[in-house]
Amino acid sequence: MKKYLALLVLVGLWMAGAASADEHDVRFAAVDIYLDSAEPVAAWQFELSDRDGLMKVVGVEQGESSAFKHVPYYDREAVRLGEADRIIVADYSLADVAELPSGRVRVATVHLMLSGDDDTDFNLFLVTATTHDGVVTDARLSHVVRTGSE
Amino acid sequence: MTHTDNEFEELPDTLIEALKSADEAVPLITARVDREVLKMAREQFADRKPAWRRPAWAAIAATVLLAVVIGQPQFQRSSMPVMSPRPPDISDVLKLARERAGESGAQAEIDALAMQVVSLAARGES
Repeated sequence: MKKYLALLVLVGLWMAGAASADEHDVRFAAVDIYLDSAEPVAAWQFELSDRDGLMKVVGVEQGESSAFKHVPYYDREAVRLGEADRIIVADYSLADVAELPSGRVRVATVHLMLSGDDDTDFNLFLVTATTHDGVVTDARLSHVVRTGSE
Repeated sequence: MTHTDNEFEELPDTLIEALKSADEAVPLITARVDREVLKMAREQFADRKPAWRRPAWAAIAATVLLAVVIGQPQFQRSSMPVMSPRPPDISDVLKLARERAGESGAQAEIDALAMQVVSLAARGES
């Protein structure tokens, strides 16, 4: 009987240790997405993923431009279900050209839950960026990762 | 008195006269008369162009009318962009938003298209 009790205690300790290790493997980060365009941008769309499939999107936050007043469009249902291992984010603005952002501007922040110890290898892809007239403009994307301690 | 005479006696005079005139010999149309009539008919329609050479005014008018009708704004309004080889993106949403700006109920259609653009399931992955 004592042998079984000792075995049970050992199994319990092992499971507790394993759970603790899993908790350490999960971390959260915010990825700021910047769009850089010489011309004022009226609509933009990007896709963010990671090459190793270690990220889960937990939320999307709007950027800093007043021309884009609301949280951008993204697949809220997939995020809610915890199935967003990548994300497509997009928004448009009907504001006047003078109010549209140009230069380097943060258009969104993507909040992530990451697993694994290694640095995440993000894949950021600009689907399109257009001007007030709907013409595709030559723009570039960049990102800055902020961890929970920052 | 024959059987036929008895029947005539019982019919009104006007009808009897009409039946008698119907019994008269049919005017004979000779071959010569037939050719003359045909010749006159051909001369009458000599200036007329064959049907396949006549301008199809009705068809042209119908085509123009159809183009005008299709060009009307109500036929151009649609919640979906014109079909193209690529999937819709946010530029299509911007275009739709500009076309429908200020219309009641338009925002729901715009949002629906935008959600389609960003849907992960719509692109075959989730």
